[in-house]
Amino acid sequence: MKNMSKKVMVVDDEPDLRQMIDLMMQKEGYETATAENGMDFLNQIDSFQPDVVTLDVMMPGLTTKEILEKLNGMEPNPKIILLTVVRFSDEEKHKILEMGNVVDYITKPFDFDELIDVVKKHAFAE
Amino acid sequence: MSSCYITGDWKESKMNIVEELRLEEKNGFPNLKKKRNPPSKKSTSPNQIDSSKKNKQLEITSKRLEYLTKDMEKTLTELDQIFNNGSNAMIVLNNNFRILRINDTFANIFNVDKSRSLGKRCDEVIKLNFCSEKCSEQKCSIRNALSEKGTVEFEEQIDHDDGSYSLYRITASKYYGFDQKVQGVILSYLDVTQIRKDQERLQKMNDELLKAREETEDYVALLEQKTAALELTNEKLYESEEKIRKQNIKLQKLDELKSNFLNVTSHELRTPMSSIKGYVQMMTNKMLGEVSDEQQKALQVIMRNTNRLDNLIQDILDISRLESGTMKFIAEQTNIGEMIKEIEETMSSASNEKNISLRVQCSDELPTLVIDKDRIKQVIMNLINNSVKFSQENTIITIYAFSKGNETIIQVKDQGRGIPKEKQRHVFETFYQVDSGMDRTFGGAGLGLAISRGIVMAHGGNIWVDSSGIKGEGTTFSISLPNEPVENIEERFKQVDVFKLESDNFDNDLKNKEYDEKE
Repeated sequence: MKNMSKKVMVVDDEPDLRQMIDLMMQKEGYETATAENGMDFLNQIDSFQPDVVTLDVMMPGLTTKEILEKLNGMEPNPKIILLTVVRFSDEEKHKILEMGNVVDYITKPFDFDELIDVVKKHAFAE
Repeated sequence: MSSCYITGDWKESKMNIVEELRLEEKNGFPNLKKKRNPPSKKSTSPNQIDSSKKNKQLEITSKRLEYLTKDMEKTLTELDQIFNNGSNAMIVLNNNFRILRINDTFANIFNVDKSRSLGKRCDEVIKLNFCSEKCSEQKCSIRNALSEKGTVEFEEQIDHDDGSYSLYRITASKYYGFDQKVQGVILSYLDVTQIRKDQERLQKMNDELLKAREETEDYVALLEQKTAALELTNEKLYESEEKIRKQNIKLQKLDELKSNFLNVTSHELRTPMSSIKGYVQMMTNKMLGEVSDEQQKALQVIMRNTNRLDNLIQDILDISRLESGTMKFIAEQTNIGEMIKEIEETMSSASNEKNISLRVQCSDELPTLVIDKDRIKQVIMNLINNSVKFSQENTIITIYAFSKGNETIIQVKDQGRGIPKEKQRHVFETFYQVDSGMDRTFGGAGLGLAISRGIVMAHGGNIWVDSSGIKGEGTTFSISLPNEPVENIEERFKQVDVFKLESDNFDNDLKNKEYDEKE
């Protein structure tokens, strides 16, 4: 498939949404894995070695900030795309992008094409 | 000796004293001789003196007597002066209460004829309260008092004819003769009227001072009471403040809770929408296999209704956030012309369905405003959507944008059926529908305009509607935004109660006219 060389990990506590994004990424040709919370994600990161992670910002357990802090300085160093329901101000955007591995964010409910485009953009960016 | 004292006054009796002294000198007056002429001691024996010497001696004695007499007279005159001119009124009585002497001061004060009074019984001349009414030689109050002491003091008030009075402190004292026997009584009157008056005045002043002090003490007590009451009030106030503070904290917590609730609700409601929309989009794009035409139509219906539901959720969340003051505004520099271009691009497809032409008439010089661009876009797109919804096919919707004064005005004008005048006031109310009940031909929850108004108000602007209400003449919705850049816009948004202004809702007839002219 077209994006086979790249790995996408879908982190979301909502099973339907997680599976939907997972399926969508598979259809787009990525190798995928899923995690249902921050800890699950951190546990798998070493074995799966994702290039891009879609990370829901509101999950039970570890907060986004805690996840990003733990991720900071870890190998591998995946690119994080945040999935959020809130809008960010310029200042907040700046802060978010300064947080370790975050490269982008998408506001829910997102458009099918939008998500695909953003993931593709970062998966193949240097 | 005593008898001669009562026969005349002091001066007259002086000569008697002199006579007496001469007699005593003849009979030998050893004390006086010794005192007055000590050298005469040598000539004490008469046997040694011859007659011529005796004569000489007599002559010397006579001269000495003369000298003594003069000396005596001088002394007596001085005593007389002292007795008569002292400030004390004095009266001297013998043991039989006959008046021996009265000084001038006494005579003047009590208006007594001195010469007539001498020798009279004292009660004929002076009346004293101290004395009993029926006094007698045996029953004299003064004598009784003096039997135990040398001196008696008492006070007497003497009323005058003119109504005034005088107060005397009278000192009664025994006096003694040469033989050391009591010769009588001296009454000395000291006028203490002024002293008494001064005393009374002092007493009065003292009383007044005491009274003032008491009053002051009362006042102080009252002050203390009031202070205590104030302290109590203060405590109560403090308690109330404490209560208010606690309630405030509680309210803040509630506010946070509400805000959190809205965030969670937002997340919970929108997450399922993402799944639905994702799958529908995948199916529509045939990523999950082939789709028949009928299935494709069904998917479109699902998608349309999902979007509708999503919009409704968004609206309800927006209204809640506006009402609770928790709507987040993100202020950024926004070029109004560019923003309207973006809106035009987005909305062109919406107007295509009814073949409605969307036109834009923007002034060349539109300012850059510090606003929440997404929110203002949301407002204008909502106005355009409304116009599309209520417009006939093949009509025109026009967007105007221009600056007027220190405001920027953006208008959306359609050629639809218009809004009756009586309903124009209510279109911005929450859940208000121009068509209600059975007549409803158009969907919508009636939240869009209320949200639009809230957003515009939060920006310090205004929103209003103008329509003749005649079908085909259409409706114009206008919003105004202040041109001045707003500092600390987030804080300002929080301070605006966007739903409080129902009363001044749309008294905008004047404003409408103003902008109609521009149109």
